[in-house]
Amino acid sequence: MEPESNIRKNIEAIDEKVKGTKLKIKDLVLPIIVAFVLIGIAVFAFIPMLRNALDLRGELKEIKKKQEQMISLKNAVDKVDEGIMQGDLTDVKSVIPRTLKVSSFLYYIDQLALEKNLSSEKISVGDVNVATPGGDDATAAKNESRYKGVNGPLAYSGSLEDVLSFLDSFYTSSPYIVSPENITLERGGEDKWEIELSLTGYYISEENNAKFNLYKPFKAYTDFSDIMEILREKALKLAGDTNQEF
Amino acid sequence: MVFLAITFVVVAFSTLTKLQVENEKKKLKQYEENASVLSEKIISNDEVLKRIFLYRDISSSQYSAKDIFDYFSEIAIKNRGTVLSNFIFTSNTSVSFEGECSSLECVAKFWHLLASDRKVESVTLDSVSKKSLASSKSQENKQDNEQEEDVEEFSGASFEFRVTMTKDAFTKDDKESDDNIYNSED
Repeated sequence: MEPESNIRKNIEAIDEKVKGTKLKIKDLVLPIIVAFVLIGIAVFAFIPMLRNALDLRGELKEIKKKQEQMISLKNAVDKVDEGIMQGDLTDVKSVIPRTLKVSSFLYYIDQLALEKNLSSEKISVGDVNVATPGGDDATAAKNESRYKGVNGPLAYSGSLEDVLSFLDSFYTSSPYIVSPENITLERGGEDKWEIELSLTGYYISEENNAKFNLYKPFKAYTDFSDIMEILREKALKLAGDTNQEF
Repeated sequence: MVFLAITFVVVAFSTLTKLQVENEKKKLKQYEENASVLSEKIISNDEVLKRIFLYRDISSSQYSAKDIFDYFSEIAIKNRGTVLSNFIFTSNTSVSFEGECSSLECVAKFWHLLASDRKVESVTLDSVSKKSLASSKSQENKQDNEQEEDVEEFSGASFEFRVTMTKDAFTKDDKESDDNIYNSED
């Protein structure tokens, strides 16, 4: 009998132990709470931190790109000789000035006509805004006037040779940048030809508070040496004509 | 432990990235200050560039009216009896001219010469008309009836052509000699 009671006691003790190891709901509460806390930390702390860090990496790339831009800008600008550039700037400003005085332009046309033995029928000029078809696409699309000009109808008469020479001088040897348009050439008599045209002389007016943008792509003017050569020649011609004038 | 490791990695990554960005921003500011010193030079360069672009824009549409006049006058001279009297230069590819010819056949020949010219893309005859010189009466005596006939004499024909030239036909770079390819034909 005693071994049976012992066995029974053992079984009951084991049974109690087994009952004690069974998972109860209260055992799950703490792990669940901890899991929620960890998930919360992950969602509300880690993920924003990671996102912020990735944004900062993107920003870092942009900053490095700008640094390279600044370095290449400095290198490109340093290659341009300041002294030569100021000389060239003076030259081009004489050919395409900030303002083209109507009187200067008229004087140039009149002197040219006199040189070519033409007689004046009509001459008048005034200021215009000019949109050139050759401008960049953005400007053409906005239909903005990029250049300023002095424009007016002209009419002269003379021999064919003189009239053609007058016309050709705008194309070959004008000190200003001019553009003749709507040219009419009409025989008026035995050796008399009449020419009528609309002539525009260009200048670039400058904004007083021009915005300076460091990140605007830099293009050295020395890359256009062929055009610069032409403008230098025109400046020389203007200087020569001015000396003669005085 | 795993959670701690993950926490450490995330925090370290975020902090290092922030520090890196701050450092690079300082460097960039320094570069910008160095470049700002060159602002006058950059502005002067832009001033020159503006004028260069203006010249390039204007010169791209420039043409020698004299060259065009000479070229078509040469064709007219080769087409005997053709005299040009009035030119209207519309653009570097478009010109109209009026003139006179000795006959309608001469006008037709001139038209053909223009149309087959290598520098001409298209030619339109806007108008053509006969020019009357005088009219004279001649009387024919017939056995029973007298008949009068009017005979008009024509001095030629006047015309107006509108020509569209090929692009770059008369540009500054066109230094080909204008060898007239037309044979004078009677």
